[in-house]
Amino acid sequence: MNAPAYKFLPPELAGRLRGLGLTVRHPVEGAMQGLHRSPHHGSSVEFADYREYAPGDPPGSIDWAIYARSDRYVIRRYQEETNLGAHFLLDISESMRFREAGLHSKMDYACYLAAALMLVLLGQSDSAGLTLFNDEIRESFAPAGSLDGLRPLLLALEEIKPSGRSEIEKALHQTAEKIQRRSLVILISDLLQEPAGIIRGVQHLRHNRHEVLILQPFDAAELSLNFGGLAELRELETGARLPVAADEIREAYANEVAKYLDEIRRGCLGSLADYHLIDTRAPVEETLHAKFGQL
Amino acid sequence: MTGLTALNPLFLSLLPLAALPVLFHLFFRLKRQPRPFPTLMFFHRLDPKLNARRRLREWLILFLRTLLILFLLLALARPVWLGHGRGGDVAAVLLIDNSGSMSGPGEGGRTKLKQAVDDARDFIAGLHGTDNAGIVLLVPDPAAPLQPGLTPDKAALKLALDGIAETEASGSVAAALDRAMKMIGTGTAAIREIHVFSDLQQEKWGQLPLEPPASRPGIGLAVHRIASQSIGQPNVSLTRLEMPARPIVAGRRFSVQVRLANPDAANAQVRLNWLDDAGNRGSVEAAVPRQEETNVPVTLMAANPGLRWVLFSVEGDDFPADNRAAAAFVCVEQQSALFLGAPADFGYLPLALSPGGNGRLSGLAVSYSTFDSFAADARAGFVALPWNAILQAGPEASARLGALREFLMKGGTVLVTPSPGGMAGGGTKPDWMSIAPESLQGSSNGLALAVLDKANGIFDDLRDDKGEVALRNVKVFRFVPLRAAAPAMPILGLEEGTVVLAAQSVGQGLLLASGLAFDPAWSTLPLKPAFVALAQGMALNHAGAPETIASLVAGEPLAGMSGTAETLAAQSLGGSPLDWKGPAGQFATFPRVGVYSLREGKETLWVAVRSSEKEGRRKFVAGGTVAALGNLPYSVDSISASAGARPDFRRQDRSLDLSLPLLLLAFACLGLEGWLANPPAMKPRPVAAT
Repeated sequence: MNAPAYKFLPPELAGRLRGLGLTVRHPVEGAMQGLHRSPHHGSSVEFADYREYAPGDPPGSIDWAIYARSDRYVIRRYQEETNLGAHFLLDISESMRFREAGLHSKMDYACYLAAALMLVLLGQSDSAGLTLFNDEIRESFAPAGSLDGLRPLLLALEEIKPSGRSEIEKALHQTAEKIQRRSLVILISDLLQEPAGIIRGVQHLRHNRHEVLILQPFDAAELSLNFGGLAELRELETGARLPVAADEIREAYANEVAKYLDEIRRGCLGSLADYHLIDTRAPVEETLHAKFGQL
Repeated sequence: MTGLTALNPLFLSLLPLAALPVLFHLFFRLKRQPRPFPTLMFFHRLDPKLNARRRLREWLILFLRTLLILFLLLALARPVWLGHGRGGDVAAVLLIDNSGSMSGPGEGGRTKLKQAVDDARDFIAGLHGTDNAGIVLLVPDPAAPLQPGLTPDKAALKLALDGIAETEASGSVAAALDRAMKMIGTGTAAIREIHVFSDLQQEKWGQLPLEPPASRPGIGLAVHRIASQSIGQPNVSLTRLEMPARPIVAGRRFSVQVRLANPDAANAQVRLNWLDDAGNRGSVEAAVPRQEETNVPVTLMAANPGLRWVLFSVEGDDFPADNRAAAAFVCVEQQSALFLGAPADFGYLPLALSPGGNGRLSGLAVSYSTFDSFAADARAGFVALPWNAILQAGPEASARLGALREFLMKGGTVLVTPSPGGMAGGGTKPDWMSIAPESLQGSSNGLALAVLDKANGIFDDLRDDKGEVALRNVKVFRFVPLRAAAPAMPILGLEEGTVVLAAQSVGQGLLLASGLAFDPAWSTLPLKPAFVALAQGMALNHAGAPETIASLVAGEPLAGMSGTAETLAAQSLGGSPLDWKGPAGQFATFPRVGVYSLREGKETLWVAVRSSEKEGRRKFVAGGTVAALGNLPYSVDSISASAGARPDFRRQDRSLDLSLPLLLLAFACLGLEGWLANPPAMKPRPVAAT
């Protein structure tokens, strides 16, 4: 697997992606034969179940062994394996620019994750598309199944300049309506919105039978305030300011963040979406191996 | 006296410092860079009003810090609420007007000064044990046993009050207030007051000060007016003494002009008394018309040379403090007049100079000698010789003429006059003489004598009040015209302009050349009374100006001492007694009439002091505005003999020191600020039940 030297897919990172795999727990629809189960039964080698023969069925599909034992015409059905269509939904709002304790800003870290996973998907004959959004969908790329096809996506990642406010729920709803085939939707966002809205968007995707994987890059400085005394905070997305006595509020803040993350986690769990909190202090490949290496 | 005042007003000027917390806050807010943060969502989830609460608390803290500084500065300024509270220690300076006007009658048969002293004594009696007081006099009086500063010793204060006596001086209100302010400034009591006891005479208290007295916050000023009683009689003031312009010679009578003034609306009839250092007394009746001044001539005589003095006093009016004056003068020894020739050569001149011949009446003793025996070191100050002696001296007499010139150079006076018998013709005058006689002339009807140089010193005793020389109706029948070339100056002449008396300065001396013999056959001058004064004027002219003795009005600042010595001794020679010795800077003035010697190191100064005529003027400040106090805050009340001053004073020593309450408020602000600035950590929100 020889990848060109993209900013977010450097050779050393690409080289360390061996052994990684990405799959789904539910069948997805793909145009090509692949690793993932298709909702369609066909002539694959993986047995699925039996059914009674009906006129019109090809006679070659009758299981003659069953007929010999039970004098019944039974058709043997096989699980059709198909390739995976994955859509990356990348949050490019202003808050993703934040970096304090991490190795990269959340935006860069998200781009590294996206690029790496795109390469992993291509490696298992899947395809990957990309949608960039903040308060609305800014740019979309059709799924690409080859390295050459992936090039515009990788270049688009390099062009990202985080700006604006994020409307995650809106982006999820739009994506749910837009993607016709059952696919894997990978949302990479800091999810700095009320969990209820986000979960509603996820449920919409799930309702449309999409698999949902959520990656939430988080800077450690967001989890707990790492400064003391009185500070005036400026919200990146809105510019709103708030004087804060850190020592006075530190514990309550950390508790509030934990509570929020728990809401997110529970919501995803309830919606059968995979959710991963990503610490930007860890190297990208280490995170990928930790999250997806066992597959 | 009510209201707020501050004992340490300096701290009030620092009050703007209270704005420092706000300024620091605004400065650091401008300087502080906001910290970028991904979202404020979690803070809003914690407390939606977190920002508003935070800002409210911030401004509260700022407000408390401002209040803290404000209260601290106010507490340090030691504000006192006068007229409220339970009272506190009192520091009071009693400024007693001891000027001459206070010797006028007050209430209860006392003088105003006695009334003021009694009121001050009442005030001191009302002071508490820890209170302090001091006494300042309007006219510094070296004879008064005053404490130098504030003292709680009531006995010493009362003793000092007992030693205060009437003066004949005017005082400076501004200077006295300055002394009082300095004295009260040394006190640390909560209540500091200056109490003025005065009749508020217009001359002193109704005049705007040249330099307004400096206000000192925290010091109360109360003026207690001593009522003045109306005097029906006119008041006569002794306003000036005019001493002779030439030296006073022992044994010679001299005239002193005493000027009396009557500013009142009624004519005054008074008696002028005098007493000299030898115990000689005299008196003369004097009528002083209303609103006029009169010169009263007094003829005196000092028997012995040296420093002599005379005290004058007016008797017969109702106000004594402007009635006295002292005159001091240096009396010189009896003078000698030497006549170089026979008595007949000089006519009536020897008799005019010394009627008794021995100098008893005129202070001039006459002696005779010859020009041949004259020496330049002759003891006489006046030498007379006939023209003949000079003109016919011849070359062999050059030594005598040289001696005569040397005598002149040393300061002597030489009179050259024709002999009544006439002048011999011919002869030459010495080259150094600028005056030359011509031949004898005559006029059967007589020519009038005219004064050509009225300002000349030989006429000093001949001038009237208008300065005119009283030498009139003198007829000249025989005369020798004089040619007076520069530098000689004509003094007397005839009506047609002929010079008959001229003067020439020679060295330090004076050469007088006469064209008249002092004989009735030459002129009627020897028959005139003015001739005696003219002759003696010529004879005493060499003595020059009299030795001056400083003359002061009582209360005037003293000048003339070099101020180099540390100690000064003042002693009275006559008049009011005084014997004072102390640091030179502490002696300010003479408050009473007398003749005093001032010794500072090896330097001695004599001073004659007369009373201040201003003190007899009977106008007093009415109402509550005292111009001399300038812009100082003060109150004026009248003290009557019946009510007394004590209730007013006691009311003023009640005051409330606000320092402690303000300090407590500052501590309260500090505690509250500490509590607000260090709040407990915010508790996490409870997890909602699911």
